[in-house]
Amino acid sequence: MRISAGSTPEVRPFGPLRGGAADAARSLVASARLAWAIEGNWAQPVYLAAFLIVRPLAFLGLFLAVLSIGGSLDVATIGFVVVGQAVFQIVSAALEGPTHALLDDRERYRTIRYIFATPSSLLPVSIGRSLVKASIAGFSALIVIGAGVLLGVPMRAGGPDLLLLVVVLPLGLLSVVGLGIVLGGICVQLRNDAWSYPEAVSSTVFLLCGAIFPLEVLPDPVQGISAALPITWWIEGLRRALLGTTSPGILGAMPTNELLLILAAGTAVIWLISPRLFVAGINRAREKGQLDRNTAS
Amino acid sequence: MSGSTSPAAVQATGIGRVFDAKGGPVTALDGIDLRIEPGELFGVLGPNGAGKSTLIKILSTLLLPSTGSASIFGLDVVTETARVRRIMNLVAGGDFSGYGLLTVREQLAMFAQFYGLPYREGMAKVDAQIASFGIEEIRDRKISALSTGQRQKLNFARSFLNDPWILFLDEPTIGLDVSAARDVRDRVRAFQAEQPGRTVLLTTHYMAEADEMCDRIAIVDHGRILAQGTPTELKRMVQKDALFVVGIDALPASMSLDSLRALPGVISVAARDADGSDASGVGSPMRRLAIGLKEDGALGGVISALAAGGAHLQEISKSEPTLEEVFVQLVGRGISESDEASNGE
Amino acid sequence: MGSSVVGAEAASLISRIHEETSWSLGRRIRHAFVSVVARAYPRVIGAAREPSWLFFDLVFPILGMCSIVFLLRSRGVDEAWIASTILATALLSFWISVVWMMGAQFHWERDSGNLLLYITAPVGLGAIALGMAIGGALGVVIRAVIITVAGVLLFGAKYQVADPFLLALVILAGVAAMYSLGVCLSSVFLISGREADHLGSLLNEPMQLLGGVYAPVRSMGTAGVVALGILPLAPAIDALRQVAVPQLAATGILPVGVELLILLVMTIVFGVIGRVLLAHIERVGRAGGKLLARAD
Repeated sequence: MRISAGSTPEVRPFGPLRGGAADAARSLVASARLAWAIEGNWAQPVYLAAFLIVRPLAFLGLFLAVLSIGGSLDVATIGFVVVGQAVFQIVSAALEGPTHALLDDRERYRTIRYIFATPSSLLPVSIGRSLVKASIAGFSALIVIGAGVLLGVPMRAGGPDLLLLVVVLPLGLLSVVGLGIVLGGICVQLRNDAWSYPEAVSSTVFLLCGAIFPLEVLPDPVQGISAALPITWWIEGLRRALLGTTSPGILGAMPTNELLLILAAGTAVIWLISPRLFVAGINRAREKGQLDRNTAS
Repeated sequence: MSGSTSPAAVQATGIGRVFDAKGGPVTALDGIDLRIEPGELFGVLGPNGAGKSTLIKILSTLLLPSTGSASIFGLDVVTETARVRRIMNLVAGGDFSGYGLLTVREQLAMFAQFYGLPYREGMAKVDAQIASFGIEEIRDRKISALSTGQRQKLNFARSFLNDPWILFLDEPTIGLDVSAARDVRDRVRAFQAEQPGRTVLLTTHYMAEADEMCDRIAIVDHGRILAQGTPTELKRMVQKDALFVVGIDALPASMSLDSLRALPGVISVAARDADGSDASGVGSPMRRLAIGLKEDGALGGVISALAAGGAHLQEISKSEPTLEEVFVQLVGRGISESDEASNGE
Repeated sequence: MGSSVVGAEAASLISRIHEETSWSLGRRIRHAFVSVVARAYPRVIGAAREPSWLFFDLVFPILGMCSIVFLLRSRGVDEAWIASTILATALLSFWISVVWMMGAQFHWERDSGNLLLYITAPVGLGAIALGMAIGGALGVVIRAVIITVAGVLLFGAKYQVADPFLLALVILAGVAAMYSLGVCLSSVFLISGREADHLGSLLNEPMQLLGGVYAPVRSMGTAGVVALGILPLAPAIDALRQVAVPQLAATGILPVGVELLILLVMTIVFGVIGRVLLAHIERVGRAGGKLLARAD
């Protein structure tokens, strides 16, 4: 094809980040709608309800039962676990969401090649799907907090610290979604057990982020890793916003403004690198022929 | 063919099957009567949704009929399922069954045990089938690494392990390339030839496959058998008269198609491959004529008349309708149109 | 093309076929036995063929075990509970296998097309399920051992087993009862259709709680007592705790002998119910046409 001098052919960047802001917004909304349709498509709503209610409550019950081995529980300990367990519902959904969305599209619905062939980007599509999963998990989080209230956990007098909540909630969510898309970019390159890695990461993060026990019980070197995770400070920030108290030990020693600074800086760093890692992952998967490959895994 | 009094390999009487569906009951089979002789290769031809697979499921004990009865070599498919399963096997097209982590040989060995073969005999049969299908080079390859064609060969090898007296083949060559499809057809023929009495019931979309392989064929649509017989018998149903194609250098100027039609025993004459001829064909360069005759013997008069007019004969062939034409006449539409219609439902 | 066999030849053929299909009781038992072995085989070799499966089958329980151990340490409880947690995690790996590799298995087999081949083969679903159970249990043994060793190395747990035979008996009875329940679950999952995955998730954590896996079933009150009678995990873990960690013997709800008896009864009862359910599944599947074959 010849291009005459002076004419500028429209060249759209080819790859997972192509398209403009309007395209991205449209993709985000469309993928969120799709995710809602998929997630809500349960043959029997009773299973959905049980899944969203019984499972997180069983986790909570399990942790409280284990804690009760050490003697009767005070409401502060219950509150610590309740908020950590509640928030982690969202953490695991957002961490695993982008990978599951990509793998669902690749393995189950076999639509990833068609999405990739559109002018849209896979990035907003993955984020949209992830956000909906996180929102649905938010329902479970509310159930867990409600259970905590029933167990006598004293919430912050006068209601949640809305200012803190408004700052902490989106920052933390962004950081988790950012980590989730990095995982998506990595897992889409894998052939075997791609589904299992996000869950393994999520379980490891659960162990590290002080969701149900203070960081002090972890070995010293591990505590450093925990402190470097924005998720650790997200959960602590939400505890302060909801319970109005600080946690014991290392977590509680962090002043709230510094906690916010760490969370904001961590989120910024994550978003500085995560889209690039996602793009690199998708491109590598394309090079390896893994992008639309059905691995039957 | 035998009379209806001798024992049958498959005997179905008034088989009906109604499925419950959201929009109300759906009739998949509606009073199917079928008799297949031992040793026959019987084809069931029909569009998607015609009821072919439902029929195979009932006969292979996977599904109960809503009405009617059926037996395999005299064993009732409803009440004597265990005994029926000891003498049958099944291959479905597009089947991806098996355990991906097993090798081809391990997978076959596992099924040999399920089919009740003593271990040594089973392993000998496994190796024999691997050799017979020419898949020795993949015998130690994991199932998950097989191509579609290799998987289907594996399925066939599995289905032959227990030397079934009746083999159900449900669209067995679907998705296979020409070479792989030919291989499995050859193996089915060889399988039947090895032991008199082995019976095969085949459902297929492919007219040529049915025409080439089947002793008899039933054409099914909307759960009913519209016609059954040998491929030749079915074709005769469409074309009761003899049809010849006669190639000549040109139609003599002294003759017309009408004058040929007036000859004794001639029913119809039509121009084929007409090249710029007018409707009558007079004086035009014409090479091939399709001539319908009451009987083959009338052809002599036609040839003589053409020769007398000065035409030079170049070819004579007897033309038969295809199964596709039989299908169109019976069903009222082509098989691909039927599939589109049923897919759109 | 085939050549048909007619007349007297056909009659003789059919009488031969009828003779071939009349299997003696001995042959049927032998066939069931070899079918069990054949179905167990893929399970036993699975871990060796797919090391990544083994990796993930170990990573998740070990991470879960670490969470519980740190939770216990945050409360400064007796280290005997950590020893108990390690054993509980090892036993739990059998339960997870029961849920996913027994309960959800026939559902998966249906979607992959295997179930159709099982139904049309002269092998009963009972033999297939038993093969799945035995193969599954054998495959999990190595995982359970690795989890226990990892737990001991990571957390320095100590055990005092006075009667190794009794310990082996408790584990065997617990595993048998769990897999017996798994046979029942396989039918239930098949009926639940596309909600099978969710059903599996629901049988995980809630059953860990009810079964008193990490904390004595006593803490669950009446629900815990009921669990002792219907959930194999509960008596199995309670007995295991008493036999392997004597410091916790006082936390036992019932004497070990009684719990062994409960597990034995569960094995038999669930086995019978499982058999009935499998027959029911086949009957309903053949009648309805949807349960046994994948939706194409």
